[in-house]
Amino acid sequence: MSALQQYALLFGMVVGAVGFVLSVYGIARSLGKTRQEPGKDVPATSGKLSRDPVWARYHVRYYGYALLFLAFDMEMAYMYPWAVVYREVGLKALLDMGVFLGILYLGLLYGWSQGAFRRQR
Amino acid sequence: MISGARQAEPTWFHRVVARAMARRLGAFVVPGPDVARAYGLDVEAAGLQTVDTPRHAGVLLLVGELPEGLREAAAVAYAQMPRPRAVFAVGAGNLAPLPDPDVSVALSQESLVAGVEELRRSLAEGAFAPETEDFEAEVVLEEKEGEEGMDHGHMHHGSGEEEAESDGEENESDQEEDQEEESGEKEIGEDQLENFMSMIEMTEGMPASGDGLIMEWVPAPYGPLFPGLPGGLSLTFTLDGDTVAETEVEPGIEGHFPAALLRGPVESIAERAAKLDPLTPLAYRLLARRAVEEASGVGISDEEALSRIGALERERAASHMGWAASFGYLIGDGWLSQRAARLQLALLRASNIEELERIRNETENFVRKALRTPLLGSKLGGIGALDDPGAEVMSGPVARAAGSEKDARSEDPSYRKLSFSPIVRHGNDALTRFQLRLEESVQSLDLVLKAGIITDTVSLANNISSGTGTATVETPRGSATLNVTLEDGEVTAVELDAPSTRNVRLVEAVTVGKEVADALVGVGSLDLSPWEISR
Repeated sequence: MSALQQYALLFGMVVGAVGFVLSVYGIARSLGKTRQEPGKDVPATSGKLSRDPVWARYHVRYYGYALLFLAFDMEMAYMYPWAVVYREVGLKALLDMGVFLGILYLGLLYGWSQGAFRRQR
Repeated sequence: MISGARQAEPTWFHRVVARAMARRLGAFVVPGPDVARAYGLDVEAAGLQTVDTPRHAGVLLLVGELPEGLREAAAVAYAQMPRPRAVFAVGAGNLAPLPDPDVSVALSQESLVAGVEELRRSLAEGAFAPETEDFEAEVVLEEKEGEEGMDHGHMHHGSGEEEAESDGEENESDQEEDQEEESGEKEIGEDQLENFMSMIEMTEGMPASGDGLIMEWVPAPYGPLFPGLPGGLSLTFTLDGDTVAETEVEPGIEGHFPAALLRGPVESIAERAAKLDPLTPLAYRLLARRAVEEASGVGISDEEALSRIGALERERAASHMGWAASFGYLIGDGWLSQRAARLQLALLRASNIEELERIRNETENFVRKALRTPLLGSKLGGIGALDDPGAEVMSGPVARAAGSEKDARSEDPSYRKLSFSPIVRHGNDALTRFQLRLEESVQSLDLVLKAGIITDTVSLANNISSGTGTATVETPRGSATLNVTLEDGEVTAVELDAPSTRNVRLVEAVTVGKEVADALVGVGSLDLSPWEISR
């Protein structure tokens, strides 16, 4: 398959996907307007309207946990490709990873010093 | 035009869509499929597909007379249904605050089938209309305002400054403190910024779980229209993660007063008693009649006694099958749910003893297979266990599954003549309750065959006079005791002790500290009827 044919196939797929989405919207629109009735925008379950709003607000201090999670989650994501080339690259790879982990552990130590792992006195 | 038409100028395209929609109707059943089956209605056979949530439903199917609390819950469900939507009432009386039904029929399978056909026509012709009106039931509007208030209340995670800004001048400092106290918020001072990532201030003062970990607790309503629980039963779990930290049970159904139903002319007490609990109308009809007979001091013939045993035991077997159908749905066993539902309807419809004998054998085969369901033991064993097997509050199969021999039938001479002795098991958990109810359903059908009479009516003895009488009947959920006072042909005072009123006190024990799925199975295993519970 030539490059032009491949691009033509890709273009066809994009047109097909966009066309499908637009036609679904078109059908929904042609069926009539959606009324903004009072009961519709209130979350409900089991015949009761929700006691609490579903858009719960979280305290900004949770961001520390989000950062910690992201740091160690990304570390794992980085370690998979690293493990594949580790034997090939050798000691240099070990040192590179050591520096990377060292920086992350500094973050961990900082979080620890700020009481990020304490929930009770 | 139907009550919940979708706003659009009808074209050929709309007519095609409407006709296609009318062929496959999803119905959200209120109070629930369990109540519909107890009335002898086969919703699926009538051409409606039962759905679990209003958002998948095109039809709100209302079955039987609904108390105020259930009508309001139905209105909330209706408000959530996408248009086009229709209201289909089967034997339902007053429906306010819901709109007038698009189709209303009597409470029978034949009427249901005819009603579905009428509903299809109505939908095909009136699913789309150029002008439609909003559904603005008060219950929806009120709750919406309340929700806005709660949105404000939920701002406790924001800082003190944020609150002061949002509330404007009216927000005095003492009001702020009150709000913070109510919401459990602790304002974070400058001195605490040294440990700004610490969760201590965030969780201080909040209740701790059993494992000592403090998390934010979330209230979650289950019912009155939760498909996994008996229709009308309303619980609120306070969830600590996926564990139930607290349970609140709403006592009975708003607007349904069991004892008040029984007051009035003595001649029609049985008819009123039948409305007390749609899940077991005959047991309450019988209870009312026996209490009246006790008050009048009149006896009944042996044949009448056998007839009553036949009627009550058939209802018990059907009720246990109905419970098994709901329980099967709750635990995700489709085969169990469908087979049990089919047997329940067959039992309620059986018209002669030969047919009942055939159903008895079918029930025995079903019970044998159900008890051999793979992994059932590991799934239900230990769930819903109660620490105190001798708890006085227990009644009926729940008590007998805990080793108790409590059964009002043991003291009845007519039952003794049929060599009745109660089935007793000792597991005291959901598995044992499941086994016991299935075994009891076969035992009940054997009693019907021994009695040799099947009927769904229980006649009232003549010569009713004034006095006070007490009667006890072993209903499918346990012993119910009724005390009535008669004066000049009127029932003037009533005192009812129903099994679910006692068993509902076990809900806390089977839920608190359990994972939410196990807690629901534990509640399901108690076979509660919200209709019996006095508010």
